[in-house]
This record gives sequence, C-alpha cells and structure tokens, in this order.
Amino acid sequence: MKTQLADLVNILETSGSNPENWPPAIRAEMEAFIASSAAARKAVAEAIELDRCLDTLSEIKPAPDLAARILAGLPQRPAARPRPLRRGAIFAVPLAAAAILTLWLGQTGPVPLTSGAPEATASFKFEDDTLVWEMPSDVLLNVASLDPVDDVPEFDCFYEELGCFGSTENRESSLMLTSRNLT
Amino acid sequence: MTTTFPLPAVFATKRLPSVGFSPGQRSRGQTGAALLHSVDAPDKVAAVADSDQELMKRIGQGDRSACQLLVERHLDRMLAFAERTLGNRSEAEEVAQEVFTRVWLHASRWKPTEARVTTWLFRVAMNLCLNRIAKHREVTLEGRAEPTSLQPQPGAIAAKKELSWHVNRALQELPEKQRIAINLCHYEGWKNREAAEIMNLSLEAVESLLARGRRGLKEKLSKIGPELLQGEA
Repeated sequence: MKTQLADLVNILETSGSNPENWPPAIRAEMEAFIASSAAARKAVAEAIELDRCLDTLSEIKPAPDLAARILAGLPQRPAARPRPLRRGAIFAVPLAAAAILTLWLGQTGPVPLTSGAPEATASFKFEDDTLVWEMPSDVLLNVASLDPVDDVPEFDCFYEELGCFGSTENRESSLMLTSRNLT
Repeated sequence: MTTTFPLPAVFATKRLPSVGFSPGQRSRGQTGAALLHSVDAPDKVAAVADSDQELMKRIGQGDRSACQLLVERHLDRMLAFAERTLGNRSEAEEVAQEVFTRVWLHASRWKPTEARVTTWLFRVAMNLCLNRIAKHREVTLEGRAEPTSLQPQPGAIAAKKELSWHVNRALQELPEKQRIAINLCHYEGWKNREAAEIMNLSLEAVESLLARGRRGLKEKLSKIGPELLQGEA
C-alpha cells in the first residue's frame, strides 16, 4: 500500500490531478486505489488544490496592436544567394569537363602547332661544304622579301658631298633647292 | 468542429486550447468536464498542423501574408509562455517579436521532418527566455520588478487577483527550468514527452523538474493565508 501511495504521489507530481493525463496503463489501478484509501484521496485533494491555485493566473492576452508591431518590425530578408555546389558536384563538374575535352581531342586529332609556318626544327645542314647548325629561331630571320640594304628608309639629303643616301628624285629636288638658295 | 458545454465559473478563467493545439494538448488543471469545453476535432487539428508546415514553406519563399497568419495563430501562446516564464510583459513581447523574426529569417531552412512547427516555436521562445534570465541573474529576486498585470490589489473584490498574484510570485521564484516545465505542461498543455522534446531533455529529467516544481509551489503556497485559498474555492 505504501508503494502504491508513493506511486500515486509521483503521478500527481509529474502529471497533475487530472486522471486523463496519467499513464493509461496504471490509471484504472490508481483509481481503484484512490477509492479504497483515505491517504490516497488526501493526496489527490492536495493535488487538485494546487492545480486550482495554478489556474487562478489570469489569461494572458496580447495587446491589440502587438501582431501589427511584430509584422512591421520584421527585417528585410537577405537576398537569396545561389546555393553552393554540393560535394558531388565539386568532383563531377571537372570530371565532365575533362571527359568532353578528351572526346573532342579524340575526334579532331592533334592540333598542328606550326600550321602554315616554315618547318621550325633544329638541325645540322651542309651549306657549301660547311656544316651549319640551324636553330628554329633562324627561320624567322630568313624572310626572303627583306633586303637590309634596299629597305633602309630614305632620308632627305641636302649636301650630297657629305655622302648621305637618298633617292635620285629627292637628291635632285634637294640640289635645286640648294642652288636656288645659294643664288 | 468545436463542441462547447456550459461550465462552472471555476473553469471560466482557464485558458483553453486555441487553434493549433493537438487533441492531447490541454491544461493539466482541467477536469474531465473542462476537457469537453472547446475540443478540436482531430481532422481539423491535422489540417491545422499541415497548414503550419505549409505556412513555413511560404514564409521561406518570402510570403509576408503567410507570416502574418502564423503570427496571428501562435502569438497568444508565445506571449503567454514568455510572460509566465519571465514574469514581465514588455520582455515577453520582445521575446515574441524575436521568435517571429527568427521564423521570418530562417523559415527557408525549415525541414518539416524535424519537428512540429509549434514545438520549434516553443523551443525558440524557451531559449530566448533562458538567455534573458541568464542576463538578469545578478539581479536579486527582491530587486526584481513585480509583474505589472498582477499587482496585489486591496479589497474583497480583488481577493482572486491577490491569490493570482501570490501564485505568480511563487511560480517566478521557482528555478527557471522547473518553471518552464510547469509552464509547458500545466499552462500550455504539452504532454510530458513533448515538453521533454521542447526542452531537449529526457522524459525522466522533465518529470523530475515537474515533481520538484510542484512540491516547491505547494510549499510556497501553503504559507498563504487559508482564508485566501478557501475564498477562491
């Protein structure tokens, strides 16, 4: 009986005086015990009294404008940011790119690096019985259309005796100008 | 569908389940008769629970009208819980504001499978209350402001309010976790295991808090004059 009373007190303390909130498995047993025990009824009466005291607290109602104030005070939401790549995508994207590149290279073949240009390879060559080591950069110097003498820019020359270069035309006009100035 | 029965005056002040309560969520202080008052049909409750999830989804997409609906639906309970936990109306209003601000900002990350919306709301409110209590811990109980809405008033007509004031004071004097457990289970009608979920504690731990809290309240209230208690009966 002492154990039953202790159990009842424990239920009253953890679940209150309303039997509907008691564990269903022991509710019937406890109700029978309460009916048969004055001590149990006293414990229940005390629990009911405590619940009744707790229920005297006033109902709490929000101020009429509180909801409006809360809604007005909501901050601006930060703009939605794009979702970061998931872990799988971190590996999948570079792998896919590599696969596409591989397929493309497989279809087109290697890209000629010297397409349209003279063959640029280092090699030994015989020129007039002389062994010449030719570097790829030498090819760039062998431009057939360039004559280092003929392609010197023309300069105007007033005094031919000084030995300056110049076209005949320029030279003649310069001489005429010089003679006019002298006379 | 809501069934309403006339009740004795003693139950008239009891806060009854509002929209959003589950069938099991009602005050521990209610008797069987009181339980018949305003009981929501399970299908309606299920629909409400679904719509809470739906509202969270819409809020996550930036829908202010959905947020307004959620505020209107749960503000009463958030405010009551915070005020009974903190014993202060203005702080309770700030907590309610903060709860719904967090809903607004974090709803996009809400996962419906994790918990019910109401469970989550109460957990947020509880944590905010505990933060405030921790900040005020250095203030002695004597120096604490009395609850403005429950100041004792002279005169026979105020006898009930006086008892109410003593009860509230006794509640405020309990350690905060015991107060929160009683607040959740007695006033907000959560079952013990649901309160354990909100408080992130084991069922045994919550029941221990409830038992110690009720014993503490009984001891404090036993010091009140019996005429006050009997006058209320």
